[in-house]
Amino acid sequence: MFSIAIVIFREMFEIALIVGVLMAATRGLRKRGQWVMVGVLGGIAGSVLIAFFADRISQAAEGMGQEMLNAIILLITAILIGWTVLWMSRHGRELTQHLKRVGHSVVKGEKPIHTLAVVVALTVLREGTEIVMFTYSAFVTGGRPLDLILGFLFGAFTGGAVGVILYYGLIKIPIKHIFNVTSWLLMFLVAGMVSQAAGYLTAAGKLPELIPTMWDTSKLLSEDSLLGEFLQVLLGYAQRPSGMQVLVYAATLAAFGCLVKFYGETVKQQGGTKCISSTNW
Amino acid sequence: MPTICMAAVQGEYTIVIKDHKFEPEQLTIPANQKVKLVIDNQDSTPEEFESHDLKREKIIQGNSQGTVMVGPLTPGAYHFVGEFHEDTAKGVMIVEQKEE
Repeated sequence: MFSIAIVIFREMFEIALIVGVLMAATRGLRKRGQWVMVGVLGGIAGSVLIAFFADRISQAAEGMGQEMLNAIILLITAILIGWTVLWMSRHGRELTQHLKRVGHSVVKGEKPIHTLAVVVALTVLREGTEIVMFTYSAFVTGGRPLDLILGFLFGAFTGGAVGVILYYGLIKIPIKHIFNVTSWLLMFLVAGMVSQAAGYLTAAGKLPELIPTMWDTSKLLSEDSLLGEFLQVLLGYAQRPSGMQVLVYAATLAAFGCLVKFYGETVKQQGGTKCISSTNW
Repeated sequence: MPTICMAAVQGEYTIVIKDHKFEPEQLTIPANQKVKLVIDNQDSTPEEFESHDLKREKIIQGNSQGTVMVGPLTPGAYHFVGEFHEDTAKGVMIVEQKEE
């Protein structure tokens, strides 16, 4: 029961962290809860579908189909989250004012709300495939069904709870600052995703490592530990990143940071927008 | 001749998964070479070949094979597990400097 609980917890933990931050980041958008649910359901359906075709996917791209698919999903997710952050940074002031005045969701946000559903679906899809395959494997290997179900529920519940805690933690941040904080968080999250995608592309032989191991902090903070995984999901922590991963991480962060400043501030009609100016909404 | 960065595959090794165990559990490969690992899952259930040391993870369906490319690697021990049966599926790859 415990082994299944641990595996399910790990996967749920990742999903929950990302969804938790996204929910906090899009605070003020109408019906976002419903769209997140749509995303979750879509993601589950997609996971089952991918698990079903896993063998064929694996054989694709000269045996590197799985790596390629993971990289593509990560990159699409990163772009969509990036887009959402840009949208939020542009409309952040509006959202903040609405939230302050009425304290609940009023803002029409048709576009990011649909994007949100897709992002959630892709996140669930990535981890969900593993959950489906693992659960199937565990059932076939003949664990006692009751143990499996309890383990599954326990893992899913505790993993999900972490996301809920994170969400309520973020929500506590004063409205004035929340979009700022979540935007920063999501920027690191996106950089981590792109860097992870670079890792998959390296595994598939599509990208060089440049330097095989930039540093090794596996003894200090293992990716297997809870904190390690937490930081891996949210900030893109890696215990043994390749030079390419570090480079991609830094480049994404820099490019994205500039975009947010640049695009986010155009609303205020400031002449000569610079990347280095401080955020003040 | 300068050393080649994106080295061509220089060796192929097969690791069999049977009864949720790796066979062989210890594998020796040469250092500084790109190596192809064929993971042959002979169990009827899927398994995930995972190694933080090698930075690789791959799901392999029951009764099928998966390819994992590794290297060029520096000498040392690189551990891997079958994530779906971590109690039994454990192995280590020893990377050795080849005598010239």
